[in-house]
Amino acid sequence: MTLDEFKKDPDYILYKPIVEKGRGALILGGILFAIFVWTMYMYSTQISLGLGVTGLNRPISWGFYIVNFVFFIGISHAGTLISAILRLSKAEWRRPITRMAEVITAIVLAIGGLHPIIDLGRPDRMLNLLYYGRLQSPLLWDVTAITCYFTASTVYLFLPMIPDIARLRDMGVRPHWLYNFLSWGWTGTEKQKHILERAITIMMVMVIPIAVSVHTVISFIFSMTLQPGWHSTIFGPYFVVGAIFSGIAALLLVMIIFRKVFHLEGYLKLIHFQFLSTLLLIMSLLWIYFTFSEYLTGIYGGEPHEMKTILYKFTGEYWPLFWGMIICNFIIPVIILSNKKLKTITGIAVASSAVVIGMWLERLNIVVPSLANPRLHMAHQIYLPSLVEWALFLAGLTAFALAFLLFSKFFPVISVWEIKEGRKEGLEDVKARIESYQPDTNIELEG
Amino acid sequence: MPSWGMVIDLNKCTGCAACVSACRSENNVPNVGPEESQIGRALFWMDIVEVVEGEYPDVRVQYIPRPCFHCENPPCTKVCPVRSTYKNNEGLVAQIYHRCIGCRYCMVACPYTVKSFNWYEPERPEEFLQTCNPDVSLRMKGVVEKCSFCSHRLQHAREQAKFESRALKEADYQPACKEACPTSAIVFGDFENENHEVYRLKKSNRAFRMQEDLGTEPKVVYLSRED
Amino acid sequence: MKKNKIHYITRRNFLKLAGLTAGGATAGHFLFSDLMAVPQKVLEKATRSIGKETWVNTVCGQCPGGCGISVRRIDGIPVYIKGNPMFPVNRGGVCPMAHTSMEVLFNPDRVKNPLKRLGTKGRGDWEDVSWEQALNSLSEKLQPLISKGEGYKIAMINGDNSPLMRALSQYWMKGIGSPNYFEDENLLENSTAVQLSQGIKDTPVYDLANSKYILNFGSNFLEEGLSPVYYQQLYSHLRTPRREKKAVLVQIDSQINLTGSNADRWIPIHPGTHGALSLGIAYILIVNELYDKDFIQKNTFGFSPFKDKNNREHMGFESFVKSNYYPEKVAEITGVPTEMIILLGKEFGTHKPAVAISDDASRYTTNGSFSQWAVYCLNAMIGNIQKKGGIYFTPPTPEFHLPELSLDKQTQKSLSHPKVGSEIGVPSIFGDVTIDQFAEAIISIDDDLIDTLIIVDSNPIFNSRNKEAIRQALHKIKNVIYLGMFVDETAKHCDYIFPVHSYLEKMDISGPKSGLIFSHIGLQRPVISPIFDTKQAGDILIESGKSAIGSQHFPWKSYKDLVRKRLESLYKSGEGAVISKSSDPEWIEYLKVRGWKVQQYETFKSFQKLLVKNGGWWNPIDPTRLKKEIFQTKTGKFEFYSTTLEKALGEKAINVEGSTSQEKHNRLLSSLHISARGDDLLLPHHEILYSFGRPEEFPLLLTVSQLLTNRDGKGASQPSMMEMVGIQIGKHWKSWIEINPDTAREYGLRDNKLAWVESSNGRIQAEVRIFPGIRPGIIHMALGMGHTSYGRFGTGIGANVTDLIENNYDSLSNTPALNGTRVKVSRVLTGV
Ligand SMILES: Nc1nc2c(c(=O)[nH]1)N[C@H]1C(S)=C(S)[C@@H](COP(=O)(O)OP(=O)(O)OC[C@H]3O[C@@H](n4cnc5c(=O)[nH]c(N)nc54)[C@H](O)[C@@H]3O)O[C@H]1N2
Ligand SMILES: Nc1nc2c(c(=O)[nH]1)N[C@H]1C(S)=C(S)[C@@H](COP(=O)(O)OP(=O)(O)OC[C@H]3O[C@@H](n4cnc5c(=O)[nH]c(N)nc54)[C@H](O)[C@@H]3O)O[C@H]1N2
Ligand code: SF4
Ligand code: SF4
Ligand code: SF4
Ligand code: SF4
Ligand code: SF4
Ligand SMILES: [Mo]
Repeated sequence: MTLDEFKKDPDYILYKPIVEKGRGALILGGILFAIFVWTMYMYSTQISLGLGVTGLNRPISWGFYIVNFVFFIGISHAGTLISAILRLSKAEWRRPITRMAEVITAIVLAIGGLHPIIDLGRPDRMLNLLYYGRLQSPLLWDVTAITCYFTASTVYLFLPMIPDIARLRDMGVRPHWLYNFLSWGWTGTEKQKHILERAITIMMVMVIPIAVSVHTVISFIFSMTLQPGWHSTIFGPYFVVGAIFSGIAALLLVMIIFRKVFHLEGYLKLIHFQFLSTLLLIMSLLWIYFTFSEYLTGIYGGEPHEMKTILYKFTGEYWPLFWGMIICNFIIPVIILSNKKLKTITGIAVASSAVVIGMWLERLNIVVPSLANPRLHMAHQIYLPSLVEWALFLAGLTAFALAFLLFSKFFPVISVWEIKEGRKEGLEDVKARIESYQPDTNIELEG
Repeated sequence: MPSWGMVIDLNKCTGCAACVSACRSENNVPNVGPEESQIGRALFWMDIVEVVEGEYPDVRVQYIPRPCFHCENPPCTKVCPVRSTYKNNEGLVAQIYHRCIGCRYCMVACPYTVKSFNWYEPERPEEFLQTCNPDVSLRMKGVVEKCSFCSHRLQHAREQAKFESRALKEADYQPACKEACPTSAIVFGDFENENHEVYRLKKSNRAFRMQEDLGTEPKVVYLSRED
Repeated sequence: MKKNKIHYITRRNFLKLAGLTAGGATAGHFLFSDLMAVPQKVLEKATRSIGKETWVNTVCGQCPGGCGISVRRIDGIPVYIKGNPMFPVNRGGVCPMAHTSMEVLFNPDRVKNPLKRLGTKGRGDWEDVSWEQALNSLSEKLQPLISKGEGYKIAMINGDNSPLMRALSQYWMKGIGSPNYFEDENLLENSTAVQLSQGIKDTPVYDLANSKYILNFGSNFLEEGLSPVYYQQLYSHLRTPRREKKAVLVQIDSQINLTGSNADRWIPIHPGTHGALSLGIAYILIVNELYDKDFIQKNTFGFSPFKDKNNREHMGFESFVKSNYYPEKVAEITGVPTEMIILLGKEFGTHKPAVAISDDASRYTTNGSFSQWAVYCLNAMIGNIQKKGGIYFTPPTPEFHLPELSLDKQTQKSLSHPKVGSEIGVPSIFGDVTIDQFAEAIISIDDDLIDTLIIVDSNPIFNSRNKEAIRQALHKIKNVIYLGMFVDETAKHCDYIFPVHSYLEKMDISGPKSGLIFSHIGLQRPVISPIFDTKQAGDILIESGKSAIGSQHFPWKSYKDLVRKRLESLYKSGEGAVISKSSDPEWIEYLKVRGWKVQQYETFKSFQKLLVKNGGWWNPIDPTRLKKEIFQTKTGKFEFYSTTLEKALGEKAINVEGSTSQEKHNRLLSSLHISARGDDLLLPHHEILYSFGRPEEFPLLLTVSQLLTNRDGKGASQPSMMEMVGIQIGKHWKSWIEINPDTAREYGLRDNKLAWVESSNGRIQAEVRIFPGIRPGIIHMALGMGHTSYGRFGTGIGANVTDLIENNYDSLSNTPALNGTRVKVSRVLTGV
């Protein structure tokens, strides 16, 4: 096929950003790259001088890096987990969504996973984790779980991409070698299709427990200590819920952006957003339920150190962050999403942004106030992140944008073959499935 | 196995901080300067915790010296990913500076906040370098440090006793803070050895340990003030 | 290697820079190699040979406390200090400052060779000179003056507390014919209370270890005592659980300091009213007949009404107190509730043995002597003088005399000149001319009163409340020579700096300390040979004395020689013994029974050898002394009515111009801000605090204290001391003001934020510490911070509270009135 023919493909719009690389992307990419280089320069000061360039201190010896670590890993739950659940539940409306979700996971996980390394005082000794690693340390659990999740989710991202890559190869899109290499000799035979589907199914089943475990384990670095405000048994599910919550919000935002920039209104319809945002609403309620349980237990028990931390969150120096979190994570999404009139794309964009910010605040509210209130009284310290820490936060965000930009310029952000498949088989499938849901009354009568 | 421990009699302790100074001198604890200490970066192996109770005019003030408690069941060592802090075969909670990756997990996990971190490369004027104690290694940036119960002195005492072919005596191994204390508030020895003073003192009805409910089993026992 | 103080700042600037240079990453900052490499100094350390360890006993010189220490040396370099367990003052304990002595020794900012001023005075530019040049310049100044009989134009301010150095300095000054010898305020010994009642200048020794009830009027003995470690030991003894009832320590102070935090009870009191409270307690003792009638009858004068030789009736202490210091009135003056006064009185009268002590808060005020006197009289009321658990007077150490100086006529005449400053201001009743009066005289009188001033180990510009006068005086005096270790605030305004040894490099004598229950002598000896081109102050005096006064008067090779002579005299006295491991109580009991003559040393050599090894000598025999030794008053008794004061006032009054003697007397008193007249004046009574500030403008009172980590500012040369300067309350490298929560609220001050404190003298900024352990209406600060010239570590750290304190003195003794300046506070609006 020639390029002209290719352009006649009804889904050509999904390939357009790849085939016709505009200058805009280059400029945007350039800017992002420049910012990223600057942030890396800032990081180099940390490497050469030490963690002193941060705002950390004693007793608040963890700050932005750990907060962002938990936050990014949380966001990464957008993808693979949501996509797997949707696939597993055979939700037809998933088709234009899964790819984006999976990309988020892979990118953000890579970024998040680097945070504990940024946080090390001696990154040069990282290999000690291999030489002397102690599996008893929750930190090692994290390392293991994240590595595992990253592997699984990249595979899970890659597999459904193969047919689309092969299409690009066949269309002669540059760079040839890339598509050639990544398409793994895909020709679209029945056998290949069968194998691919099997593989996707296996991955999909595997990835769910892995994803849940990752965030549970991340909560364990906190809850395994005796710190007031951390030593809690619901931290595992609380973190998982939070992760999915922020993940969905992030996914919604990404969808809204691509819809606008790549003109994907035809694929990402209001209905997609509404379905997803209903899920967001549910997560918001779940989140407040967990939050309430967590604080009520603390307050009711009234253990002095626990109380001190809780009161500090409510009224201490960081009170705007705590109440901001409640507003962002609960008040705003619930008001917007439970109101039909407000549940527009703009409304959803606002709610999602609120949730992303709110979840970041939640991570901060977990890490910092507990550390600021150690069990033994000591001179009170307040933590204010330094320029370097802000820079590295920015680094995470730019790396994410840059990576997504890059991805979208080489691969379709919506799984084209699945869309096509949906058009062809989806309707029948669903019909058959819905029929299969129907009560078996007829048969009984006949019999 | 001996169970090295410390008893601090709050009845006698005046809060004079001689122990703090002695510890810093003995263990080459670096200074960080005004700006850094202002933001909570000062390092103290022995620190003093202030407790102010009551309201004017019925106020009681108490200063409590606080080394590492060398917990029997230390939350700090459990979390260390590389066994850079661990309980050694003398029951002391030790640090291996050149192995520490600087994750500060142990700092966060210690319920008593006794650990310090080298946020920058420790600095001292060259002139001061020569007065550092050669028995204690200098730390580098990015690692955690804390009271070692002056374990280098134990090592030394063991060698000496072996050399003289005799058993270790109570007086052989005494930490710097104890040595400096002008009120003899600090007593150090083996909790398991009935000939040591700490053995008797820890049974006092004034004896308590910090936040015993945490189950960390600190090996620093305080004797409360008698009022 | 980067230099410190500056480096801390560089780091921050660097970060700012890093932010600015943004993308334009300068490759130089990518110091990854730095990260991977083992730091050079760690390597150096690791490759240093396993050193040879030695221990040397000497005496700590970080403060006048005089603790015996053992210094651990590795290859001859001191690395660690611990207390010398044999030493009777501290018995193995030390205070925080002992450990940082090496930071003084190796301080990068020590003056490393003699310096001569370049350019105008005070600019701080110096030129290196050799010792030969330096000493020549001194003798060039001295010789002509001495030969002209103008030795009085040479003055000296001495702050070295070694008794031998003090003796030598006085001897030297006498030799050149100058009366202008001044001692630093730190060498003032306050014995006014004892002088008023007993006519002697001794310091009382409180037998705290055996006391069951200690009524402490503001003495912060655990921190500011002459020898804080000695008091720490006593305190420990007090707190050792025994079978008998626990001793009670009651702290009467406007603020909870280190001693207060260890007391059983804190009685907040209005500053400067300790005397009134003790008179209120005397009232309770009198009306409840809880005083020692027998002691009072046999040993005291002025308790009951008496008639003088002119047959005039005097009411006596008893009726005076009864009619003037009833509890309600005392409660009003002191702010201590009536019931508490009654309780304290009853407890003090019934718990035996009890003792009343006073210092610091009750002493450094304009009415300090009267306050301390009133407190001291409580002890006489319960008859605890020369009693276990009460008050003793330490027997003197065997005397040592420098040779008799044979002065020619000219020198004698020069010597009889009045001391510069004696004609300025108000004469003190018992005190000497102050350094500040000396300075005022220099600047206000046109003549070249003084040609050459030698300052030894004293920093008046930093410590004085009248800094400007001293600075001007130093500028006016042609030739000012400073003997010290650092270019401190005072040294900066001198013409020559003669750098001296640190205490770890020199041989000297320490002690005897007043306030200790035994007499003793400590031997300071070099633990390392001088690391810079410095000299010992004593050697400078001996050398210049030889050339300017005559070598026959200075028959010693060096100061060390003089120290040896001092030890010889000790040996010859046959008293006491070299301290030893067996200085334990049983051994002492044994010696007491056997008699304390020590024959165990065959020769002086063996005595000296042991003394050098062990670090000191002492004589712990029973301190009880004869009544007639301790009551040297006109009446031969303990006086409640002070004939000593009566006589002294009479003598001083004549010096004031005026008509009638009554007027002269009144003028003297009012210029001393003493309001009492007649009998009231000569009996212990309460005087109102004096301050220039008007209460409407300056509603609060300032009180001060010294910290164990810094004392009057010497700790500031040591970074470790600054790092832990307020360790107990989590303050590092800074000053703070303590204030009651209510007062803070009233003035809108917030915890840990900066505030201004202002007095009629000036204003300073410090961090607020809201603390319930201080009376409302009081501001408390620590002395010794805010150096403007003290090396890289101390300079610019915190604020100097002496900038605020008014230049007032105690009316009788010329002790600086550090407490009681009126101040106001406000929030600092700019800055965080
Ligand atoms: N930690 C610490 N130690 C210090 C200092 C410090 O700042 N911090 N400062 C050092 C300095 S600079 C000095 S000058 C000394 C302070 O030493 P001094 O100036 O001598 O003052 P104190 O030791 O406070 O008092 C001396 C003795 O006088 C007794 N005394 C109390 N009232 C009277 C009285 O009415 N008459 C007589 N005759 N005696 C009385 C006290 O009991 C005490 O034993 O401390 C030195 N030691
Ligand atoms: N406002 C106010 N004034 C006071 C006092 C106060 O509390 N407040 N206290 C008074 C009292 S109690 C005292 S003791 C005096 C203190 O007055 P000073 O004795 O003058 O005390 P500093 O100013 O600390 O030290 C004087 C100099 O000694 C030098 N020096 C430091 N260490 C050593 C050393 O080890 N050896 C030698 N040879 N020199 C050394 C330093 O160069 C320093 O500048 O101040 C008195 N004046
Ligand atoms: S040295 Fe002794 S008295 Fe002083 S603070 Fe330490 S334990 Fe307490
Ligand atoms: S006190 Fe803290 S650092 Fe020390 S052993 Fe216990 S948990 Fe570990
Ligand atoms: S900071 Fe060092 S010692 Fe502490 S947990 Fe991490 S690696 Fe272990
Ligand atoms: S035991 Fe040793 S290391 Fe620990 S506080 Fe005491 S002196 Fe410091
Ligand atoms: S009190 Fe402290 S500084 Fe003073 S002599 Fe004793 S140990 Fe040294
Ligand atoms: Mo002093």
